[in-house]
Amino acid sequence: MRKVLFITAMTAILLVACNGKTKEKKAAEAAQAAEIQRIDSVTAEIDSIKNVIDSAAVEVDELINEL
Amino acid sequence: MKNIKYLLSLLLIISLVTAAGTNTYAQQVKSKGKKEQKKVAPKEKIEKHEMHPKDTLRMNPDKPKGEKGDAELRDKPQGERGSGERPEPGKDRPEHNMGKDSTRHETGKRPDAEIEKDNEGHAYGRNKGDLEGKEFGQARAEQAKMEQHKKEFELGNSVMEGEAKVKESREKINAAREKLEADRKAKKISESQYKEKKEKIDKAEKAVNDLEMEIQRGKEIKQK
Repeated sequence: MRKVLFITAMTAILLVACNGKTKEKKAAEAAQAAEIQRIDSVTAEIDSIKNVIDSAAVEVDELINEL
Repeated sequence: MKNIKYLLSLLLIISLVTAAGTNTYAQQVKSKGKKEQKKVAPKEKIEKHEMHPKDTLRMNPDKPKGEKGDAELRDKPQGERGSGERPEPGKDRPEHNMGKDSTRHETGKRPDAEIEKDNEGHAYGRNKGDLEGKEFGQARAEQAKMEQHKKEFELGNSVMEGEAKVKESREKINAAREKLEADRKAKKISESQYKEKKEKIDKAEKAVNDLEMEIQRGKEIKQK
């Protein structure tokens, strides 16, 4: 009976350990994906503001030349 | 009795460990397995088709069973398909040309629509190469960071150029305004001309203010 209990307990520990690793891995991957998404969104924002500045500069150029 | 209990517990352990191991292994090779499945599937389909070509045609002559295999074969390059394994579409299986992809069989080339369909999806995830899982994620993160640095550098250049333009434009606007007032005083221009010119100057000044605001916004974003 002791043996059975011991083996069952060991199995439970093993299972918990395995699942823990999987969860950690999943969490790490999710964090990495979120970080990539954040960087991408910042990059897109930077790109859009750069384009806005460039187009505004062109507009200013045209209006100044008209003076 | 003891032996039975021991055996049962051992069996339980083996099944549990196998299940846990399979779960973790399945996640690791998920993407790899899909690729292999795609490569293997067409060959199996072709073999099946060669064994019973008549049966397949009898079942559904308009839409042959091999069509699904064709779709999967599209993923493979022409050289890998194996010319000897598959019967010529125009000779042995004339009914097959009646399907949707009859043009492809005739010309031997894939239509542009199919190629475009294959190219759908995220550009970053399409060409993973040999990278998988964690490695791909790290490479992708590095790529994203590099792209961000590049865009930041470009934004810095735009901000610097914009600031120079604002300064230069303000000087030009001030000069134009002074000249306009002087011309008005000297009665060199009519009232309507004055108003027209003033409107242009105001418009230019507004554009410069807008540019300055955008530059400020760009600086704030860059500082984040």
